Amino acid sequence: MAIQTDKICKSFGNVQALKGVSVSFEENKIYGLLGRNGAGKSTLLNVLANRMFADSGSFTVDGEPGGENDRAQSKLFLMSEQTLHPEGMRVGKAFQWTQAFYPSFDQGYALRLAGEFQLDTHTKMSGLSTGYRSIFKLILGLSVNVPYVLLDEPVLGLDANHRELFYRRLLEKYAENPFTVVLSTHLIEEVADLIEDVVIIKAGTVIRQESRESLLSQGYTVSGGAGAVEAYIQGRQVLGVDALGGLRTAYVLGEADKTAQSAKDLEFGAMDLQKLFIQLTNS
Amino acid sequence: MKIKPSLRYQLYDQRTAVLVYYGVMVAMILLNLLFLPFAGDSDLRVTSGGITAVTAVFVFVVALCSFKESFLLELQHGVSRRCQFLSHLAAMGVSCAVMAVADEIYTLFIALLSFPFPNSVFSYSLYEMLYASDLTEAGGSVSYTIHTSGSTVLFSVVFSFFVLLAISAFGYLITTFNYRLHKWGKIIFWAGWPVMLIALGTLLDHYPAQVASMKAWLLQACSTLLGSLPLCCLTCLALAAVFSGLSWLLMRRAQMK
Repeated sequence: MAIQTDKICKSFGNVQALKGVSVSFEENKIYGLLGRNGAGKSTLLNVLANRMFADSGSFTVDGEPGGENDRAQSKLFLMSEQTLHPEGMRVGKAFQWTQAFYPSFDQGYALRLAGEFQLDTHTKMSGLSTGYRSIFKLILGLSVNVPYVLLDEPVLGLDANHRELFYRRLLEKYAENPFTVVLSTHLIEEVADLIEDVVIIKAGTVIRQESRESLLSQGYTVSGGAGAVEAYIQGRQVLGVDALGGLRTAYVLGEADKTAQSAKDLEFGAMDLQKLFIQLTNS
Repeated sequence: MKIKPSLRYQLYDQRTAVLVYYGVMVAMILLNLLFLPFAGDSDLRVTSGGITAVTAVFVFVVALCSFKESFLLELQHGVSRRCQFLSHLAAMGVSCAVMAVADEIYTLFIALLSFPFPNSVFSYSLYEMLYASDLTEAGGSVSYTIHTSGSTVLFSVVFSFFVLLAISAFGYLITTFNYRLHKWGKIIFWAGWPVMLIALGTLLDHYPAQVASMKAWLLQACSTLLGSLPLCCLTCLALAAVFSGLSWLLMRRAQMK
């Protein structure tokens, strides 16, 4: 049971947004779909949600062909950056229509979430700020109760409190009734603890799809005094170094050598996902 | 398939506009009636002739506005284009049927007002004006007689339904075509065709004989295709089928913009 894509290609004029993307989103997992601006994340999600057609390639949802297939499409819900609801539609009415299209939509839960996020259900779409548009769509995504929820830049325009609340509710919902979540975001540090698997897209190509654990085990951090850190990282593959006064934190690829002479007085930690992402996607 | 919710949404999308339209039409008649008691002996008349002609314009405008919002909302809710199109056909049929009946009710409603206001209120359907009327010329005067009967009520509804169906399908084709055009396509098309018409008009001015024969041919074609109620219904149905077929060809590859 999964969304499985097979060599999906998509171009916009001369720009090739997706170059034979083959990726799998398995059931009941939280994925981080990471990539730089223009890498093809939104295009991939739009193809999966049948909003765009792939130039070539195909995808399946639980073994059935996706795309123009109502049964396959009813298993997934995409919350995208664009709001596709009519500008004159009120939030409450949009909830009612979502229930009409997705019988599993929990309107009571949606209204409760709207209360928590202080989203006025009488407001028209045209009256919602960028942040509240995101909140409206997040509420739909959390309440729709389908096996695959695709979230494209879910926290766009949200303040820290609302972002925190969203991550909490997402985890609660996931713990209560697991489903597949694909989180496409640039806020990697914020979602790093949430995601189980990571898919990294670079210039329309998937360069990594593996568990976060496995990806992060490819490197480590080493912290300590500037001199000690500098001595330790000599000859090693370093992704970057953060400096704070006389302290340094270096991000190093490979296995930590804690027994080395230069490792004395240093602290070793797990690799930072964002640092690794930057290194992997820097051209 | 999500045909039922899709149909419900498409009907809901048009509901308010239809209610406002008939509300305005009734209000206009009632407003006219307000003046009747003050008319005295003057020849003031309230006449409603062929509301379906006005409804056709309204249906066309509604069809022009019915694609983009509904298409995007339904894509958001995982409805395939095929399902959306089938629901659209059903919604178009239902709304045209409702409006054809509403037109006739409106016509009859005004006809009923002729009882309290005899010789002041007149009401005829478009069907009655086109297919149940006689134009006779005798002694230098022209008389126009409309024959109304029980059967014309039913025929009026049937006639209105097919006319509205063809016009609605045409409006939907235009809006779907417009959606598929990119920015430059829109500019070229919408600025281009009026320019082309003007140029064609100027060109045709130089060929009066050909224009006359073309007009005669067109009139002949119209009288053949629309000469009787069954022919008119068949023609409208064929046009609706062609327009809808073309709309589907455009819609099946439409993408989110």
